[in-house]
Amino acid sequence: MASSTIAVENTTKNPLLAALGLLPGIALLAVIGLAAKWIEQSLNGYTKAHHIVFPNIEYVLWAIVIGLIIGNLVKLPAIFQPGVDTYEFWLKTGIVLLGSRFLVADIRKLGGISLLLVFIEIGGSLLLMTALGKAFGLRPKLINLLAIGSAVCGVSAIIATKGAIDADDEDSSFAIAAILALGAISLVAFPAIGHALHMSNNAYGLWTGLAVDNTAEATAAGAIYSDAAGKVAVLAKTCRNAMIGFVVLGYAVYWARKGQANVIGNKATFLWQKFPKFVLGFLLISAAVSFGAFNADQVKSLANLSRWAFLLTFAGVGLKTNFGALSKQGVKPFVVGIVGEVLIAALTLGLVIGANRIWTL
Amino acid sequence: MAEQVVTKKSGLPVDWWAVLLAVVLAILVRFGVLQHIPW
Repeated sequence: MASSTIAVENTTKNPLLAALGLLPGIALLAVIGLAAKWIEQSLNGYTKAHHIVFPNIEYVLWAIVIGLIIGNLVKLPAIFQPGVDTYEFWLKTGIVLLGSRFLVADIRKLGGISLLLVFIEIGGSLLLMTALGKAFGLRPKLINLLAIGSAVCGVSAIIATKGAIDADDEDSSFAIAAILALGAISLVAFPAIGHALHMSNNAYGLWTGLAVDNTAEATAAGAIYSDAAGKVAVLAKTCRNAMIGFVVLGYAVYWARKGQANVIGNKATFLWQKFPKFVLGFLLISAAVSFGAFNADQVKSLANLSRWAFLLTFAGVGLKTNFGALSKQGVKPFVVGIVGEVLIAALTLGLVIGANRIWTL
Repeated sequence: MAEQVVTKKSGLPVDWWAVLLAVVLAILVRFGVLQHIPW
């Protein structure tokens, strides 16, 4: 997200040049995404034609794998960087457009269940990560960053908290690296567990949205399972993202009282600043569709535009995951992260299974 | 990536750009400028 912020900020200096500078990287994202789509379709066509039993591997996984290979084996020329950094921008555009696939009634039902589980997940994750961090002797602000990153929404939450509690760059890098590394692992682990447990699309999507920390990885981990699961994962993750301001405010007030961070002025302004505005766009599009502003064909077009935006996102996720850089960040935060995330994944899985029994997701 | 993220400046809100693009696309679809988007 931050990277795309930089890319968009550049447009304020020389809009035309900055926009042109984005094109090579965006073209690269598109080529990787299209190649992934082609592999999925070709593989499906081949296995069907030859009557080979083979699981359908969604283009999402291929896009990430191709991106990972390029990003980790080749040093990308600088000309591609600004455009590649826009992948979080495409993620948010895709989420807003995804609003077309949710009627307000869907959001009320699934969103209501998600919100309830999000409150439990955030409380449990904050307590768990704080206890683990203390047990492993991590620095207090690093513990806070890891706790909020795993409880709310990954990298965005860590960046928001870093500024609010005046944490070190080193602590933020540790926490971000741990969250991103665990996000990469979740792309493989979550679908495997979901299939092993024969989870429904809704239940799996809800679990992924609750347990996977970074929004891009949560969306991808959901979409790898199925298109329908990806849709629910985004809704659940969006509910979590909406909580970011409240949790960051809590930590900011705590550190300000200890004299180790700036005092918060107007709390309502602070909450508005931290609130992810794309959530409003998501609700706006959903409301427009619910009130009949679009016909069925137009809704399909909006949903497909959302898929194209996600296609660019997934290519970017692979390209920007650098295992070399992640491995340099030290062992302890990773151990705390891994132990904590496994426990949070188990906790949220239990919550989703419980919710499934009550509401039949 | 981690370093890039940490050195971020809090400038123009990307969220609003994403909302703007999505709304513009929705308007183009609504008024028939964009039709039958394939997947």
